[in-house]
Amino acid sequence: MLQYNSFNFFANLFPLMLVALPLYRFVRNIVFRRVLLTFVGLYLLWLIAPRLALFYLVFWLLAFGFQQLVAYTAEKKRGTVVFVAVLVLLLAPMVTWKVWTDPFVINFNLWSNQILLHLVHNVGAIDLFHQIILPLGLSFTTFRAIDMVVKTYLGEFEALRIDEVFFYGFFPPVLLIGPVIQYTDIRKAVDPKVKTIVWDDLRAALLLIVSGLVKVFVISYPLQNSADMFIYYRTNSVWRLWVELIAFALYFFFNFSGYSDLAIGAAKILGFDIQRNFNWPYTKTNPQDFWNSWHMSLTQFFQRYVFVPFGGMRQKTQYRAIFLTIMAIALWHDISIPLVVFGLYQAAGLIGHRWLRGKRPPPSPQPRALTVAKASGQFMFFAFSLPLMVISAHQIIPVYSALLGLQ
Amino acid sequence: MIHDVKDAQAELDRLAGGAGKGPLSLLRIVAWMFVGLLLIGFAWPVAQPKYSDNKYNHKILDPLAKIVTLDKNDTRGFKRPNHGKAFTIAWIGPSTLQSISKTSYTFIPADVRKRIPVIDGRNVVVDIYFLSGARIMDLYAATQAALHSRADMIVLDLNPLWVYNDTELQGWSNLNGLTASHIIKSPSQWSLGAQFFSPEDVLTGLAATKIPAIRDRWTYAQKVRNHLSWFSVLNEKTPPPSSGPLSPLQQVAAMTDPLQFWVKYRFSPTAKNQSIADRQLAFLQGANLSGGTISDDVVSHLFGILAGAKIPAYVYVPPLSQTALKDPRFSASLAKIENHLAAQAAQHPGPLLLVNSQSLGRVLPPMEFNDIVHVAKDGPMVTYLAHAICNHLLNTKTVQHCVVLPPTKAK
Repeated sequence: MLQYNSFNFFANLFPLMLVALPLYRFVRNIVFRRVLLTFVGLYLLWLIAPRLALFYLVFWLLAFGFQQLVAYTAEKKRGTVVFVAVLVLLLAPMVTWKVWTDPFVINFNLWSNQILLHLVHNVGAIDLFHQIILPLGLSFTTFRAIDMVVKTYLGEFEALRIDEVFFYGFFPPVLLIGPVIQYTDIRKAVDPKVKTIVWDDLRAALLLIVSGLVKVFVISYPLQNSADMFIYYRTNSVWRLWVELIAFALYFFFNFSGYSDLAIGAAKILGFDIQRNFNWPYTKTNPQDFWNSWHMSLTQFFQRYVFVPFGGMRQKTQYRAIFLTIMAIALWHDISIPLVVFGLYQAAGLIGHRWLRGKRPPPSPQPRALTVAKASGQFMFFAFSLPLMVISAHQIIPVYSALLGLQ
Repeated sequence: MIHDVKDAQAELDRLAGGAGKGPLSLLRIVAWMFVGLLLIGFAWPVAQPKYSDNKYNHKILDPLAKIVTLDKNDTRGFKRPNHGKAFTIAWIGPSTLQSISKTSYTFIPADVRKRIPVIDGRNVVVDIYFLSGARIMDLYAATQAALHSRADMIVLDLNPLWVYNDTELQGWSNLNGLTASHIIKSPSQWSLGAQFFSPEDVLTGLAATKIPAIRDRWTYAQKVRNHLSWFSVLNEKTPPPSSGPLSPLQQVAAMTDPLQFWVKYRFSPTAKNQSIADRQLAFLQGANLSGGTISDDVVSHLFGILAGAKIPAYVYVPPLSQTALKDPRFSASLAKIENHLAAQAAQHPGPLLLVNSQSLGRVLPPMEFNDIVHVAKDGPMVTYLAHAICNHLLNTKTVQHCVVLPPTKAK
């Protein structure tokens, strides 16, 4: 229970595409297309559990209302207060989930099912035999909603209509595992006057999907047992643990990036260009390049909304901005002590690198051997922090003692 | 280095001369994919499942009565034996098919077969579609599978505790693809499929009928999983020490069935000290008989396909313990279910279908039970069912000779 296999999501999405694509391609009406994709997204959530579809339906209805409110009050006296209040409200479910995980997840399942049973008993009954779930995709949904509200407040676009909000909120490919998209990423491509699906799109989609499947099933799947090192760390030697740690780092990357490829490929079938989410991060030679190529859509989100506002582009305040950005990225995964440590560790790496680069710029071009050595060092630097994303607070000392041969 | 999809496309152009650039090329890719999957099926065929794969078959000594259900994750669903000229009874049911006492563990269908070893001169074979924890949709799926097998008769056990209880309508979702392939030619059944199946179920279910590699995917996955240790250097022989009590969410994660969650968090806070009888009474009273429910819909489809079948079908309600029936709460709740079942059966009359909506507990002499619905000694029930089956076959003129043997004395 609670373990949802992301592949099931795509295994339902692709057959649905067989039905939706001809309709999408030949009905050249923008509203129809938005509504069609909204229904596809809602149905995919329903298949996971109807209570999840209900939850997001309510979430995006509220987000629509909040956005209208922000647009209406943006130029008024209390506009900033309303804007901040809306941000807090949008963040509330995700933060509650991260801070009070157990009661949130249990009550999320209980209440949403109870509401369904009261609204339409038979739908509630169908929901009852679906598995108990985490609020899957909530972080990505929250980030999309925040992006929409902030851009409305800043006047980058006018308040969206309900069909536009739902199309953005239920855009099928990215519902579950991202990437984090902005409304402007998908706004134009849905318009038949602007974008026509061409064979090149389908070909590119096919390539991405094959790439995703190879990453998920051929490369990462055989390495999945490496996660057992967090159970058996007391009874294994240091070298075995390090081999498994490297395998886990590869599993972590190929699994995540494989599913990102599937999502981007699915969007590409419909002619949407969603930017890649990973750019060979394990070949990067320093923490800054690494984070600029790891889960790029998330990093860019935090760059827009944390790094820049907190003075990342200014000499004086850049270290503070780096610290706050990486802490936000870390705590997005989970608000817990291991993730605080993860954030501090990565912040030290990023700030240290920035400081060193300021003192002594790297030679250009670098010898190949040096590049390989630096990339290996950066990979190990990241891999060493990966256990923090998995273990609980009381495991930090024993796991790292085992890894360092101190137990 | 390939950085993005454009680089990959350029590389594909260089290596494969622009594969996938037009509709025909894409079609060729899809066709080759099918050929590849077919070749996998031929090159690495999967052995037919064995009866011994199902642990419950070890309890049944009779070689002519065996459980045909496969693993709960196996999308093939059931073993499909060919019994040649034997008279095959497909007997479908949940845990109420068992008879468990301190001295014996048997299955009622196997015991009934001993009493009717021959029908019309043909040896009787029983394929037992035993689904532990089966809910109403699982029974429908098994019935569809049985109707698509070479069965000569169907016997269906409807546990009154679950037949109209919509707290859980399905427990064996691995049967979805199989059932989807069975109902694809029956549009009247599609509404049911739409409520329970996903697009993946339908697509893989249909593909499995033609492509062995897809049909046997669970077995392939098992084989691969068994070799995953090749990719690990971890020594997992020594189990880690216990890390203390589980958190509430860890307890939920360890559950195997959504029902455990709903029972724990929705029902138990008000009734923590319930006995088994109280819990079973709660399930009995939880039957939703308001009409128009999904359970009604499934039962209606179930009776519909049995009424339309060309083979005889006998549906019965297993006994509730006579001790429980003395309690008016049990008796009254059961009576409502029996009446509802009878009303639904009346809407689907069939020349070869007999629905005995009255729980056998009302007509059988007092029996020994483990709780209110699971029998410990099945003797009277076996006699009753053996006669009921023979009578139904003779009354419908499906067979000419069906004789029930007297019970053999226990040693």
